[in-house]
Amino acid sequence: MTNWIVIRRLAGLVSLVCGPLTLIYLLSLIVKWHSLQASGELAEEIGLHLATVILVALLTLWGGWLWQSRLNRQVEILLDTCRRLALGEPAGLPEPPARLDELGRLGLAIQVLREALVDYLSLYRRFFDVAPDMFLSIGTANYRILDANQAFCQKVGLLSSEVLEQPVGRFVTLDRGWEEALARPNQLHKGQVLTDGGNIDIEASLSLERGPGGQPWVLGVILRDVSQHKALLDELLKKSTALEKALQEIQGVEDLKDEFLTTLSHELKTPMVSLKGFLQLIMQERGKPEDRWAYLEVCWRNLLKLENQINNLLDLARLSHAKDQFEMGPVDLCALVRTEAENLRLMAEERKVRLELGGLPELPAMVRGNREKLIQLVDNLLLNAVKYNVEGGLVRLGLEQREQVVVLTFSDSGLGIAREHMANIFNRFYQANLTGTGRLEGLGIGLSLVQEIVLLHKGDIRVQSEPGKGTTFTVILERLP
Amino acid sequence: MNIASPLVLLVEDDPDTAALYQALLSAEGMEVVRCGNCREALAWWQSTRRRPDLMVLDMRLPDGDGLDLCQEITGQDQAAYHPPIMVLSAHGDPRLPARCRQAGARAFLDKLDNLDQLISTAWRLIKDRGPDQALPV
Repeated sequence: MTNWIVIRRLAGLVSLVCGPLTLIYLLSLIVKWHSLQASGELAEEIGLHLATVILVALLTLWGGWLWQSRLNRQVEILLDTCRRLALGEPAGLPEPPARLDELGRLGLAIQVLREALVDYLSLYRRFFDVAPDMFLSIGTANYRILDANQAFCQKVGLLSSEVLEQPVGRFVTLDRGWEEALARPNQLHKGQVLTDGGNIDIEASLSLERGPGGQPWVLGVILRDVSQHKALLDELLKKSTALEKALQEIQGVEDLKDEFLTTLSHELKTPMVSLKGFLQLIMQERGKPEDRWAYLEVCWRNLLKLENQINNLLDLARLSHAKDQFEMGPVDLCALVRTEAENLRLMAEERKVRLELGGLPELPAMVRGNREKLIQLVDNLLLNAVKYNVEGGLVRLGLEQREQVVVLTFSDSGLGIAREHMANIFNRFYQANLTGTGRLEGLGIGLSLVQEIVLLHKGDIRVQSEPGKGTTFTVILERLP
Repeated sequence: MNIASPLVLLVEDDPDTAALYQALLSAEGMEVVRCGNCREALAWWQSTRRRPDLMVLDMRLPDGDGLDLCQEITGQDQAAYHPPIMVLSAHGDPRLPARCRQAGARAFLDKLDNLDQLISTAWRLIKDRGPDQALPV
């Protein structure tokens, strides 16, 4: 091979030398042409000269061919190097031709360009590998993985060599399939990465690289793990639903507050109308003089009604916000219930309602509580049972001592509470239209007060009711040993 | 119409308030028919041929409100006699007077207004009834 190169170089040298020598020789022949013609030696000379010219011309052609083939080979090497660079093949460059200055410089330039490209490539490779998102490049002809970054390999738990050249469908499925994704590469696609530990929800953004002829070449894919996003989204949706519900509840409470304010206005103003009106009649000496005492009695009654309403409101406010300010001590519920029932018996008889004390025990039923508030609790429930009863109805009051608790029951044979009102009856702003005539009484805070008193005693209250048959309230309080 | 002793239909559910208005109107020489709710008032309306010179209605009644009663009575017979209606309320809702007028009421008073105003309004409505609204015998 080395000899051949030497011969080729020699031939090039010969062609370089012979070309100009032939030219000089031909020029000398032209100069000598006329003198040879005059001396008649032209015919002898011409054969010799012709043979010399043909020999020199042949040598020149041979040397030129050899020179040309050497040039062609170097150009081919450079072109091949450029093609491999373009394809990103990692092979190194051949040494640039040392004696061919132009091509040598060109080769050197390509080598410098390659070094720069390799630097950039390694920079992007580093980005590619440290990115938390998964990157893939996929051949569009057979959907095989051409390249995958570390994030992807880690996610699927395989080495890079185990992933490359594998069909992408083995590791990643898209909801709409890969063909559809290739048809719409610029859209965001949803799918899953399949791992041994289960499927991971991903979002895939695709970019299609086309070849020089415009044909699909490489599909670049960025896969983002959205499983946490999905969990967050689910959490967000849950919270949003809860907030919406809370908002509705607040709206509901707002509506009840409006209703309460209307009721409050009506219930506080009604006794005031009578009070103010009858006082005006007395002051202006209208009406019959003998009726004035009766007017004063009406005024007094309405004044007491007002006082009661205001006290109820204040009690409710105190019970809601200052439970620790109530003095607690041992209270005999049995004696308390008996006394309150006796106090209300007259009122019940006036309303033609029978009051029955069912099986009260002889022994004291001791609880720890605030005596005044427990009286209020029993009074409120008894009054409700009488008030919302029917003529000839029955109110039955029971007390039972269990191992750790005392259970009080207040049953009436009244009209009952409709199912739709049951959830709201302890709401302070709520007042169900409970009576048969639809008469609205009180501020609708009686049951709310009862509930607050039960809470003060860390007890429990339950209600059972059937429209048309009656209602039973059950109060459970902790028993003192 | 007996202007000296006009007939007033009073519909009020609170017994003390009803007693107050009855005492007040009676002292003015008016004859007062008292009803505690809409049902009683309609029953009275249908049970007699007598027609009141004035109706005084509470806005908030147990089985409806004064406006329902207004519409119930005025809607029964369009051509028949409709007495002037005064609605009383302890509500304090600023939209109520307009709603009452729309329903056919001629006057709207707050229950806490001075009683003299109630008397003067009652007399004005009775006197302003006009000949076409004359009480049938």
